[in-house]
Amino acid sequence: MNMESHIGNLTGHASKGAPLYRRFCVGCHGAFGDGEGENAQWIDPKPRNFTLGIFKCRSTPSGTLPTDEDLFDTIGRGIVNSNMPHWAPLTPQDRADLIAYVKHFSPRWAKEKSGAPIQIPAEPAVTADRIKAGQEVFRKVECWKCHGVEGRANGPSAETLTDDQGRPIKPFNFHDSTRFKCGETDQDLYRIFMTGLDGTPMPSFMDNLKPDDAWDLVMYLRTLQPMESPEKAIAKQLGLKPVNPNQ
Amino acid sequence: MKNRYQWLATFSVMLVVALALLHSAPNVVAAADGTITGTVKLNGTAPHMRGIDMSKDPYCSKAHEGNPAKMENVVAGSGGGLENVVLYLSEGLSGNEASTAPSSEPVFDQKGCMYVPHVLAMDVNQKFKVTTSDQTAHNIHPMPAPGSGNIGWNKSQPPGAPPIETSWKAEEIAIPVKCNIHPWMHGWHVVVKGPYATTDSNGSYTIKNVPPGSYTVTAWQEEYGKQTQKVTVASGKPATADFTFKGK
Repeated sequence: MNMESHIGNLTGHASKGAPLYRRFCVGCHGAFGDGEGENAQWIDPKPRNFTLGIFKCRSTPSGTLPTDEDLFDTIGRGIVNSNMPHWAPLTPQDRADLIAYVKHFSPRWAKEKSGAPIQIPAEPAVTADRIKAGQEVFRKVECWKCHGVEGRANGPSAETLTDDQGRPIKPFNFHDSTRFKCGETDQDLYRIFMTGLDGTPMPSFMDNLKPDDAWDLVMYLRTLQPMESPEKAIAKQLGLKPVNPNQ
Repeated sequence: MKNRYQWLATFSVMLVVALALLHSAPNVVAAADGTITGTVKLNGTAPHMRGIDMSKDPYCSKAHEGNPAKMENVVAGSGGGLENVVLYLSEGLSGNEASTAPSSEPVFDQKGCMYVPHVLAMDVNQKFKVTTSDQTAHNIHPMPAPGSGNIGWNKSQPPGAPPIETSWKAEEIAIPVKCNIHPWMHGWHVVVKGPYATTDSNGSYTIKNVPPGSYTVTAWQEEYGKQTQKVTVASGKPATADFTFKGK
């Protein structure tokens, strides 16, 4: 219970987070932090099991602990397409205290340090060439195997996906939502596929994509989403067709 | 009075030296030139290994054209020899023994949308490589047990991707490894302490670099679990330990 969290100049304390956790989080995440709260049985996707110390939304490499900022951002943002609401109404100090308490559930934090956050270079300007290159990345690293050639979550492997607990899980449908589980900005999108979502089938691509490839992919993925964007307008102009996996 | 303190001082120095010697003694390892060899057999008929339908990925099914791939939970040879059984010394090691070849790097390859080998044994902290020979994308997703001391990860390996070089921190028998893109792909990383061996297609094995001494040899098979045997190894003379697993 001496666990602390450090977010900017805020310091969170687990002892102060405990009563907040019992008030706001226990219903789903459970008294032991194992994701087996009384509401859990009705919820899909299931609440996170904090005792495992494995988190989807990280700025750090696959297999490492997230930073305190990563967890802070997740609480503030909530997780779309799940029952996790955004907790921005709680003060930043309350959220920092909650992070410290959430960390006390897993022995990983006593033994390991958070991973080093990946570096995200400045975003280049959107161009038609970059969008076309991004589509080539989408084809080559085979995002379509799960997400489908049009990003509709209907790729050949989509139906058989399971999370680390063996529960069925769906890939993200890019046409469904303007937001992702781990954020909505271009930087968030970049971070998501580079670090992967641990505990799910989504792997890390940071060993296989250079920053330029990654930005190209971000721009192409934007063309699949429902909202109007410069990327989408360019794709329309180009008359971009879905990738051909047999190419 | 002064004399007594002098005696005390001399005695303490001697005690420190003696303790230091005692502490350093176990670091003197006897020549690790012993071996343990044997055969692992299956008693009874091997269970039916289901064929794998790879039609969802044309690359994978083409790789096995005319000779469909089968599950590999139990691989028994014609003489009943069991392949992919890992043998290691579960008791009797002093903790200073190195693996069979500490400088070698075991390789876990993805070939024809299968893991080659299906079971990869390694020493704690021994570097190993994950490679891909396939022209289709895989994701490597080892899932160690919570609290094992090992931490899982999930990385992509598209065609032509460089090898992933890594190691496991803690002993764990065994870590399941899967590919989410190809749900039939399932293999194991067996992380042991000290010398180990894996049986070949005849079920034979040889554990090398074993210092003389008495050990418990454990044989692990993914379906049938563990069996143990006591073995005494003399310098330069191979000890034998044969195992028989009973088919279910």
